[in-house]
Amino acid sequence: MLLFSLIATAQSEEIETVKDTLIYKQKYGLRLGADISKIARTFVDDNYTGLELMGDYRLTKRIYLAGEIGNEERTIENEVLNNTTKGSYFKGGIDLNFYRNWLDMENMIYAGFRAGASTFSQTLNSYGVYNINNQYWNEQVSINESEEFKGLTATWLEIQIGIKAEMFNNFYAGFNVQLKGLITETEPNNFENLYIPGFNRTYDSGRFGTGFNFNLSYLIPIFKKDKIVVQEKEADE
Amino acid sequence: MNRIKFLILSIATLLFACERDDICAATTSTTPRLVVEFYDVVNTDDLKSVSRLSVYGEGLVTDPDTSLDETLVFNTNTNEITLPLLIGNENELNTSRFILEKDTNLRLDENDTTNSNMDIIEISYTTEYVYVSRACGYKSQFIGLSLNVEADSDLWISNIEIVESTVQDEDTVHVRIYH
Repeated sequence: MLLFSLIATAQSEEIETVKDTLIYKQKYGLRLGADISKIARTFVDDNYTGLELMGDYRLTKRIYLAGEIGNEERTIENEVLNNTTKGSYFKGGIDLNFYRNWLDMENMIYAGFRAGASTFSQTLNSYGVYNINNQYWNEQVSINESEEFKGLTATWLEIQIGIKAEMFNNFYAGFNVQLKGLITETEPNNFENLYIPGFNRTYDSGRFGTGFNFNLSYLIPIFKKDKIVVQEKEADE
Repeated sequence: MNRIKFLILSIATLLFACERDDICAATTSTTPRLVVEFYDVVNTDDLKSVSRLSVYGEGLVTDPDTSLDETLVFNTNTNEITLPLLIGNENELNTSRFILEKDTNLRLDENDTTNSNMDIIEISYTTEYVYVSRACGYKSQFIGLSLNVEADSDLWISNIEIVESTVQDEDTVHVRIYH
């Protein structure tokens, strides 16, 4: 060892380099998974039931075809109303991997682009009539007859920023955050969409929504491609 | 690799949604009150204050001696009042009745030979619930407004004109009372 380093320092003035080509096998295939956060929330939160399945298919070194399909039921409850949204959604698009992997690793730091669509219904379970002067006649108006608004739809565009890491062989864990912009929605008569499955809650201030996803997935390898890495290396003597 | 694993786990635990409950802002237009202005019966374009007016819902209080929660105005010279209406059931004809007492000071003073003049108005309307927002829920608006003065031997109200038959907000005057 000592001898090696002595030689190395002695030769440092005049290193000869050669090009060395390394070939790593890269797995291509279908990766299927589920959003664990929605499953966990289903157990923890009485006002939420949801499941999201996701999949991606690797097209090239950096580009993945990706999509999610899900079903959600969410009850929003506050002082003035109680509303349950139920429905399904689909999101499709691509993921672009920006991460330069070391050696044979296949992790991702990616940007995802999606178009989303949802069909759902809203049930207004109860509501109150807001009146700041209600103490005058001592009148509290609340309505407990539920009213269902069916056949509602919404579409949106979404950007995701996320990571996926191979925890062990073919088994991945990932996380992403989502920014959504609502494109179209059918509004119920004399009410509004408080929650849209897949889009999550809406805001009074605008057409934007947010979301996140914590996922576990499994890669079914279909074929392998070579990843060729050219390295400059010291010439052996 | 290890850093990525750590990042995933820490962000996931952090983000178990905490949603802020929205609050209905005081500036939001919710259930409106009825805005009434008093005009001169001779020069019908001129506002005319009612002397020593007291206004209160019928049945809530009788002959109040001081300003109470039930008195919307008490013993005041004014040419405008705002009346909170009973909401009642949707799509039904509802009524609110108010006592408009002019010259309240004459009832309050020691002199028993003079008294105030009470006129009772009955306001009828159909209630409609209108969605406002997730924080405020619904408000009520009142359509097909009509207003009657209950007949008595000494009315100080001469005439009533409905300017706006739908009460949607408090930005406009809905009713003119001439006296």
